[in-house]
Amino acid sequence: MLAHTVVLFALAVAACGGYRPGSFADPRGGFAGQRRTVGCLDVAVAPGRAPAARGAAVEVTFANRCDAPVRVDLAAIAATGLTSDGRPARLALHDPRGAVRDAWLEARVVARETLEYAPPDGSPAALARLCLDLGPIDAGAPAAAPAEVCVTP
Amino acid sequence: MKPAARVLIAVLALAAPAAAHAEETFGDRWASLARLPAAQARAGASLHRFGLGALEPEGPGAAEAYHALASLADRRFSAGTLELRFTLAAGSVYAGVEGSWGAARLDGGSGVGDDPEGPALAGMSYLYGAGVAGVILGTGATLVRAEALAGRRVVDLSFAAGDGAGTLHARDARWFVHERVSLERVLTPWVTAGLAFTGDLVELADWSVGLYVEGHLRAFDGRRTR
Repeated sequence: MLAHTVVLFALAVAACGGYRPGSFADPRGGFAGQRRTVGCLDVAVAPGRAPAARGAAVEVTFANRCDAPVRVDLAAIAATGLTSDGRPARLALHDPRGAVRDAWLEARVVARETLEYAPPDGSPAALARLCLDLGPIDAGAPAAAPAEVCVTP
Repeated sequence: MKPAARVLIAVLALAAPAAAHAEETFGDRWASLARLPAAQARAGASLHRFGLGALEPEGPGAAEAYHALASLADRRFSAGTLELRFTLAAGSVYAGVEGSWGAARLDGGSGVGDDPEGPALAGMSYLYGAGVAGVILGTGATLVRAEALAGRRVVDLSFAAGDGAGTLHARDARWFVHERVSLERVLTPWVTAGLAFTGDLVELADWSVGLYVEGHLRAFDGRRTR
């Protein structure tokens, strides 16, 4: 009985362990997509699923690898793309309601957001390639070097 | 978002903190976690060594037992208790409440007084409630806490009257001020465990030692900096 209790306690503690820095994984498994470390954040970007998207959707998974909260600024991520006919495309975060804002991510916590990028004029775009510069995502980090990831939507 | 909803979100997140995903509304879950209060809940177990003051028995034969029970003022008692406590931290300082309850016994047997036919201790309960305030020292994997408690302790005793006349009851209730030092280990960002030693600022011979596990609503209580 005591051993059973000890095992249950150990499991409970392990379940509360939070994100392990550099692991790019949570209880669901490994983060999908291209991986980068920017400041206190481990970030992965994968093609996203957004049936109503006008442009390209990406799933951004970000985990706080530090012991202190981190200010995450997803809106600061810069995006460029290539259209299906090979032309470069200017892209912006499609956020008509202004919902995407910088916010604090608790220490050792993993979060995931689906973001949509489209031409600034809102016109539909068929993209062959989408590249994101994740450098500014950790708003509290000193000016970071570019951390570009590219996905095929 | 209402505070109660935030707390509920935190509880759900702590059940699987690394899966605090937010896919419906931007930041609805994950951005809430860092805004939670730095609250802690603790469960523990302690051993107490203490003495009692003069007891006034109630029940049949109380008058005859009065002198026998008076001898308990020179005896020592031990109690094993369970504790619960809730605190709220602001940086390195915190305050809250805690309660403890359990069973106690008389050291050296249950006999009371010199008369073998006299009353014998049949049962004893130990209960206290206190306010607590303290400071956490250190930010690494091992923390030291220094804190003060002020509260009220109630010890209830029941005695079997030696002549089979029935059961006597007595109560020792007193206010106390305790000092406590704890050594605490960070097990995860949300869980710590520690060893606490408590002394009594008035009754210097009284002391307690205990083990505890503490859950933290904020990772590392939000105390660490990058």
